[in-house]
Amino acid sequence: MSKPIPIILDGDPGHDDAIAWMLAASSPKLKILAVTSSSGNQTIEKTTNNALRVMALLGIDAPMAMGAVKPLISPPAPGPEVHGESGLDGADLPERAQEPVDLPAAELMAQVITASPDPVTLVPTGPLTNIAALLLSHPEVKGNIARISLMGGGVTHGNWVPAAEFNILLDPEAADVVYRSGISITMAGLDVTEKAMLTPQDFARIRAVGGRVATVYADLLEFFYQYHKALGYPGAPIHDGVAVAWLLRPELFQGVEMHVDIETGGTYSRGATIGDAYHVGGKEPNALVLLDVDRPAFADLFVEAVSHWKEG
Amino acid sequence: MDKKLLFLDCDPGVDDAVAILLALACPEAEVAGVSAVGGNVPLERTLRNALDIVSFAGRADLPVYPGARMPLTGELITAEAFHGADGLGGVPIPRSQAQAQTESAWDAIHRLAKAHPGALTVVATGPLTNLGIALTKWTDLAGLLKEIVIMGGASAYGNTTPAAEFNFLADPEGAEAVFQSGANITVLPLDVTHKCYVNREEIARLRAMATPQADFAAEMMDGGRVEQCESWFGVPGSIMHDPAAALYALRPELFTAKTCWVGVETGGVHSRGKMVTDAFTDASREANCRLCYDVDREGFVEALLALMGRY
Repeated sequence: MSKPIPIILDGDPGHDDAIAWMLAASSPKLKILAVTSSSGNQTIEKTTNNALRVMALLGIDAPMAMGAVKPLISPPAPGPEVHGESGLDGADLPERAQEPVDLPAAELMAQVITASPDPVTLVPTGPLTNIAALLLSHPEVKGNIARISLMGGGVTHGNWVPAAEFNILLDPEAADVVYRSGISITMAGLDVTEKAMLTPQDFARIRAVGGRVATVYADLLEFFYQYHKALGYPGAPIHDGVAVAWLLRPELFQGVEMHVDIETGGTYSRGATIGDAYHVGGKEPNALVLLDVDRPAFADLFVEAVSHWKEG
Repeated sequence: MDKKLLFLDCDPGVDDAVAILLALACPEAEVAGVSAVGGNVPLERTLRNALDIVSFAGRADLPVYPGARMPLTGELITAEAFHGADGLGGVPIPRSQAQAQTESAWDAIHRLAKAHPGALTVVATGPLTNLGIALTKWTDLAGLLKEIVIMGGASAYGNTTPAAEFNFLADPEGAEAVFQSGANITVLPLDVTHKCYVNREEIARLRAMATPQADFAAEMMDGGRVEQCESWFGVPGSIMHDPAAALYALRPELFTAKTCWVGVETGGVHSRGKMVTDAFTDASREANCRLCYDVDREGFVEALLALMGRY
């Protein structure tokens, strides 16, 4: 078997972050070098605690650092109701088993990237503040970053406002830094993530695996689904899971290489990801924009992943 | 049944020309007037082209009104790359002896709307400058019109910048003024117009009609435009943006639309002229229009050919 891809998980757990991290932790194809938290789905204190509790549940053995308290210039956003009061409501997770290292998230990432013999893939599933801080403070590590596989944006539509998706809208300036960095991006935006659903049938398959991890994830999925059910979704879109799933099984996805600009101004468009599908802007592609997914195969990935902890 | 009363506000323009021919051929419609705006080519050309096309359709009597030379704010943007320096792709058309009216587009639209309250549909296939001025100047206009049918915008992927379609980019403030006016609006963005194409076989059917008007329309759809649409947009035929708006006004049952909110971005670093809509998102706003996103393409082409067959 080929060497595992070294990755850094940067997210704001958050149900779908927690689900994405479970997929990452289950796979021998990925090696988690570090975990960092971002503020988005809840305050940085809550997402940091949630990150540590998910790491304890899954047995992720890696240093963890707390991320930026607020976006580059935007005010901190209030946590949306979708993830509940704790940011990860609905399941019985263990208490944290370690403390964050005493470094900013960007600094931990820089150290880990510098020390890695193989180029590192970043997997941000929250606002891009920490990644921007890394690229701005340590431009010298860019050469050892293989790719950024991120959840954010949507070239066809938004969700938090009509033009913008939540993660990008919370920190458009950070997203602009990331998209102009020259690093190859895989963009799991709403175009694909709203199709990447797990249905109640899938929750039942996960629960049927048995054991603590399966129970926790079935509970998390059922909580997360309630919000989307009210919006008319037939399942829970596992937005963040796409950023990890693409690394494991790229053949399950369809995408188009295009240039994507981040709008930081405007009356309606702040936070929009502008995709140049028709090549009218004259700029080279900077992102593989995912547009479609083999949903049943995507769902199977998570059922198989949970089986990794079956004996628990 | 009463005829549909239409007013065509346009910037001919290759596909505007076809839209005018279609509207004037429809026995169920009465066209009350045509106005021109600076757009695909400057106003002098669009006004001249409008006069010539109306005359070519056998309606030299129809009043043609001059509109705005420049957008509400900002610079004039033209699209000669697609429409040729003359606006009609270099396809020759007989010169009309008719002269444009002295009344402006915005005053003519208001006068006609007031004369036929609740009956007049304006089909706008250029930048929305004339309607933006009309709705700003005449505060009663929004309530007097039956409908404004707009070709413009794109919910994703602009055709002129990555964010914006040509008509909305050419006058974002004009477009935004129209959408927030309270008028009854239907918009046909690239989402649907890229499905309103005429392929080579269908262009050949048009040519086989062997009338000057059908020849003219076929020539404008052909002549490299099919290749351009294929290579730029992946559309297997000549895209009929403006005829889509005309046909929506004449045969709305061919189209699928949803009621939604649309705003036009006037600022931003990358997004000026972008059509922003809640039609396809979880973030809903108070609706201000209908947005067409699908069409019965075969029905569209058959209707187009049937109307052209009336010449």
